[in-house]
Amino acid sequence: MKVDFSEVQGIIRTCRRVTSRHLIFRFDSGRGARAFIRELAERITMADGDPNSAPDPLLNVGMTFNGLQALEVDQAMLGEFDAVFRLGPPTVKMALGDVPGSRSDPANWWENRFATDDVHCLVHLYAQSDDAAADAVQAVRQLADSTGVTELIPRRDGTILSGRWFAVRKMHFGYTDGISQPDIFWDDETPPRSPEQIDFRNFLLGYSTDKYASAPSSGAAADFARNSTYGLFRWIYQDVAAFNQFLAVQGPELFPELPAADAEELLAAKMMGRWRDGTPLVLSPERPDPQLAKSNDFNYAIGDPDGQRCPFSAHIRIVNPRDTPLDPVVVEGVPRVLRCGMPYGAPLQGTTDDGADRGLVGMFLCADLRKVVHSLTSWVMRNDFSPVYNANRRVQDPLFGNRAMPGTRAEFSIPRVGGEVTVKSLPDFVHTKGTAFLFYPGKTALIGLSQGAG
Amino acid sequence: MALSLNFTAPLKQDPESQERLRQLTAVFADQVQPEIDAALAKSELVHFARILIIDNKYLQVLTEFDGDPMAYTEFFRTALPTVFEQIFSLVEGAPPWPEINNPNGFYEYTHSLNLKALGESVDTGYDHGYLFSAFGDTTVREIKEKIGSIL
Ligand code: HEM
Repeated sequence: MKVDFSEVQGIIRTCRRVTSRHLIFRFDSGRGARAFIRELAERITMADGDPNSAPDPLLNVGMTFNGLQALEVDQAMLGEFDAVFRLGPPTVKMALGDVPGSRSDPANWWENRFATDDVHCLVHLYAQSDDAAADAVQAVRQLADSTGVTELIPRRDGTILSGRWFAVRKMHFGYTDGISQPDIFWDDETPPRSPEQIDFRNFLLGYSTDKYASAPSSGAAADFARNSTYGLFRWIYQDVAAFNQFLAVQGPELFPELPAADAEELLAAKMMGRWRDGTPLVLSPERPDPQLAKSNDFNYAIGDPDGQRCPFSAHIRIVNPRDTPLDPVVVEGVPRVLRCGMPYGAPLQGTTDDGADRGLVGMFLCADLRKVVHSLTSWVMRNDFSPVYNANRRVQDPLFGNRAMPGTRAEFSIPRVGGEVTVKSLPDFVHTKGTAFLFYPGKTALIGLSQGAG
Repeated sequence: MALSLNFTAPLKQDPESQERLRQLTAVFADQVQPEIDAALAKSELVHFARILIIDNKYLQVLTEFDGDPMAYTEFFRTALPTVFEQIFSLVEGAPPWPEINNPNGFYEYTHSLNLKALGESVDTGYDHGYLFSAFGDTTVREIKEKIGSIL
C-alpha cells in the first residue's frame, strides 16, 4: 500500500510560507455550501508535486462536524466519524483545559463575535507575501459571496486570523519551532528507514487497523474518508510580557549562582526542554550548542531518568515523552501529531504589555483526534500519565497549562544535582481564544461533498 | 474530584438472552469477578465499582474513578474484552461487538449510556451531575500512598 499524494491535501506535507490567513465560514444552505466546496476544490493544493515550488497561495480547507452536517452528508455515515470530532470543542473543554469561568472558557471564544457551533469551515491560505495573501483572501471571499456562504470575523477590530514568521522559525516567548516533526513512511512496500519512522496510518483516515485505529473504521464511511485527516485548530494567545516578567524575577531567584541573563535563559530552557535556539537540554544541559540546535536524536529514560537535565514537566517531555515509561491505563501509547502552526502578532520585548493580540495559530494534524485531545492536550493540563510524576501528579506544563484546571497545582519542579528547586505559583502565560476540530477531506471526500453524495 | 460512571442499559427480554443473563449471574463471582478485580487494581484509578441487574430489565455498571473518562474506558475495553462482549450481547439495541470493539466505537457507545446524576458536578468541569466524596479530590493513588504510610 502506497499513499497517492494526489488524493491528500497538501497541508499534510507542508505549509512552509512566510504568512498565512485563516478564513472562517458558516454554511447557510446545503446547496450553497456544496457549490463553495466544488469551486474551491479546484484551487486546493494537493500533496503531490513539490510544495516548495508550488505557486502562491497554498490553499487547504477543513470542515467541522457541524459543517459536514450543513453539507448534508448522510447521517449514518457521520455517525461513524471520530467521537471527539463529533462532540466538538466546547463539549470536551475539560480535556482541552478550557475551564469554564477561566480566560479560556469556550463561552468567550472568537472574541464573543460568534458561537463555536457556527464554525463550519476553515480555509487556510499560505503565501510568500502579504500581497499574494491579500489576493488569495479576496478570491475566496468572492467565491463565498457568490455561493451564499457567510464569513465569520473572529476579532472585534474586524481583522482575521493571520500567521506570520517574524523571525526564522521563532515563536513568541523566543523559542525555535519546527525541529521535531514525525518522520512518516508513506509506502508499506519500502521498509522504514529507521525504527523512528512512523506509519502514515497515524495521520490518514480510511486505513484503520487494530494498531492504528481511526474513525470511520471501515465500510462506506471509511471509503469516503480515505486520505482525509483530522486537525485540531487552536487560537492561543501568548502573554509575552507576563512571561518575560516571570523569567526576570524567578530566574535569578532559582539559580542565584548564575548571572541574571543566564539564569533567565536556563529557566526558559527548563520550561520547554530545549534552549531557545533549539538545543535539547538532555544533550546539552549547561548551555545551548549551535551544533545541536536542530537535534532530535535523544531520549529521556536512558539519557535523563531523574529529570536533572530536562524536567519531567518540560513542554516537549509531556507532548512527546519518547521512551518514558507510561501508566498501565495509557494502553494506546502516545499519539504523534503533525504540527503546522504559525505565530501571529508583532513580537514584544520587555515586561510591559502593549495590549496587542499575539500568540500561536496552532494546527495539529492526526488520524485519531479522540486520542490526541484526551492524551496530549489533557496531559499538558495535568501530568499524570507516567510513573515519573509519582512525586506529584497534579502538576502542569509550566508554559501552556491553564492554572484554573480543577485538581491541579501551579507548581514547577526542577530536579537538580544538589536537590530540587520549585516554582510555587506559576501564572497563566497563555489562554485559548478559539478552537475548531476539522476534517480535511481527501480527493474522494471532496468530490462527494461537492456533489452532495456521501 | 472523582467522576462517576452510571452506565445503564436495557436488557434483552427474549428467553434465550434471559437464560444467558441467568448463567452470567450464576458464574459471576467465580469466573468474572477475579478478572475485573485484577484490571481495576492495575488501573490505580478506580475507587469503587459494581455491576447491578434491576428486575432482569436493566444492567448497570457503576464506578467512581479519577482522571480522564476516555483513557479509562479504553483501558477497560482492552483489559476486559470478553467481559464487555458478554455483557453487551445481553443489551437491547447494542451494536454487534465487532462494531464497538475499537477505541472510538466503545467510547461513544459507553458514553451514550452513561446517565447523569441529579444535581451539579462540584469542581470537575464535567457534566456528570452531583457526586459526594468524603475525600475531596484525593485520588486513588494518593489515598493508597497515605494509607501505606499509616500501616
Ligand atoms: C502557544 C502554545 C505552544 C507553543 C508556543 C509551542 C511551542 C513549541 C516549541 C517551541 C516546541 C519545540 C520545537 C520542536 O521540538 O520542534 C514544541 C514542540 C512540540 N509541541 Fe508545542 N507549543 C504550544 C502548544 C502545544 C500544544 C497545545 C501541543 C499539544 C497538542 C503541542 C505539541 C507539541 C509537540 C508534539 C511537540 C514536539 C515535541 C517533540 O517531538 O519532542 N504544543 N512546541
